[in-house]
Amino acid sequence: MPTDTREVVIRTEGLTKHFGDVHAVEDLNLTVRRGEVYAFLGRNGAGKSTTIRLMLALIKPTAGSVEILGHRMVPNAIRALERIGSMVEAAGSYGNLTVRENLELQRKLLGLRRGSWVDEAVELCGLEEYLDRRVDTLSLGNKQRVGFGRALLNKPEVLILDEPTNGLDPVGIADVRALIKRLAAERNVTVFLSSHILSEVQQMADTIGIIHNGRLLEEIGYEELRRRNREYLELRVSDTKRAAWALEEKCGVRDFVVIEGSAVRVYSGFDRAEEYTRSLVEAGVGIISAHMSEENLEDHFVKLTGRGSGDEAAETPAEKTGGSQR
Amino acid sequence: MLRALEAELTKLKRATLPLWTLATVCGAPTLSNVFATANSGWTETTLWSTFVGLGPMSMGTWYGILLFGLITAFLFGREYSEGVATNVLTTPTRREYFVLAKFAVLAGWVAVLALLAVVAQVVWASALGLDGATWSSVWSCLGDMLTVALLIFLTLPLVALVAVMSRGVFAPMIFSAFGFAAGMLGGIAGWGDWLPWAMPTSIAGSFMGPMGLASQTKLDGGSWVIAVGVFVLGLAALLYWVNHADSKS
Repeated sequence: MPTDTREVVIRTEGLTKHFGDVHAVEDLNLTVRRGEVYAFLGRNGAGKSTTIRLMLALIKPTAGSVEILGHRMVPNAIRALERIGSMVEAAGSYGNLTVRENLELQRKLLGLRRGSWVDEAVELCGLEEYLDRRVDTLSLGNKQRVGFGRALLNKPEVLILDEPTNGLDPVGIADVRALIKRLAAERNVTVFLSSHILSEVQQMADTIGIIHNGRLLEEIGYEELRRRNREYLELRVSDTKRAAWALEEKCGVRDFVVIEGSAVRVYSGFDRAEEYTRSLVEAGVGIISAHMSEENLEDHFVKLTGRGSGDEAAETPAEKTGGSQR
Repeated sequence: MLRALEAELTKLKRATLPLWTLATVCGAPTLSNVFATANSGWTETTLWSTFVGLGPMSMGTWYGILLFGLITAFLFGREYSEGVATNVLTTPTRREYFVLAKFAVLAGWVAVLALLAVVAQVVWASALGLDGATWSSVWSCLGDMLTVALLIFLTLPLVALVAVMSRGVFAPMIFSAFGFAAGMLGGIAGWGDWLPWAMPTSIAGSFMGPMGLASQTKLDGGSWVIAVGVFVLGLAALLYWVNHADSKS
């Protein structure tokens, strides 16, 4: 696999946060690269928000460190925060102020000069028609847009968003998704977002990190995820090495993976299934079962997080890739 | 620091609390009326200057601690209760600037209310047609009102600390209610020379001393050292907390 040479903009090392006996985040090691959309997936209470709070220096780590844009967040948060936009959980605003006033207030706090900053954020978030309305008269979704607009005011290099689509209607969700993709593609903004909505994440993330019980279980690249989403023919066999050889040499199949010690998954040429099984048998490989299947992120997520503690789930055997990959 | 101050002032736009606090100080002279009416035989002899002198007593004894506590709770606890605190704390501004800007706004708010309270007391005394108006009693009322307001202000860092520790406005209001009770009981018990919450009550009693209605208590240098010490320690604790404690909405 080629080495990713993009600059690392967010790095956590051994990041740990305990609240008394509760181990909210445990030894978290994340790497997020410039221009990447990194989705942080986890169930409620998995440690997503705590991680984001640690990243933004809203809470102090029990151990470990967070480095963003080359600055350690403890104690140098201010230098990094100048280049970060963020929205943490419910995007609260001052209800007695209008949308414009809320954005202007944030502009002042950010120390930005008067100018196009607010106008641009308004346009990006589709807030034009609500500018002079008090925030306490807006719907939840539009309040979320205001929060999003505030996060974009300083034209951030890094955008950290905690559940950014919460409270949005389907159109609003699609808008946010498009905006995130656009920011990453056109402005090279690095986006780190937390979510528990798998379908959302699948559509915009370059990399997905799955956290459970405060531990990072897995990081999956987009290409890997696509591969997981494909249909496959799973052959549970007695000897995976021999099966791989037979598929490659006898059938000319390149698009398959070996599930260590148990099965091979073939991702194409399903109409040749009979030929595959015959070749395997001829090569002396015992076939225990053969079936068509499709694994998606949801299956994968449940498989990882649904097995009790994070420790257990982390022990899931890693899949090793064989054959060619797309 | 200036941008934090500008932001604090912007937040007050269209907020209803400034109007309510204004209404409270403007309506406070009615307490003087009630007090005067409750003291039968005294009403007929009430002079303009006496009535004006009751203003600082009303603030020191009745509404000051609660009203200024409410303002403090609003300024320091509002962002937590409205879920805005994380937005503020993730801006590239030193957290102590936010605290100091809030205290600057609080100091200004308290001073304006103290001045308005004097004006209200004078207007009401005149409207009641009382005799004996003098400029010296106005200046005396102004000095006493500012002294009472200052003494209460010096206790407010502790209210602010409770607001940020509890992340809301309810706990600091409860704390202010305890402060009010402590002031009343401490004043009666004669602890006004050392208990900061009882100091306004006690010197308010001194305003009534010449009328023979309450004992006179003077604050000496030691009392002021205690009052200022409570302010400094409270502010230091507040600054430490906002800089070091975990922040949540």
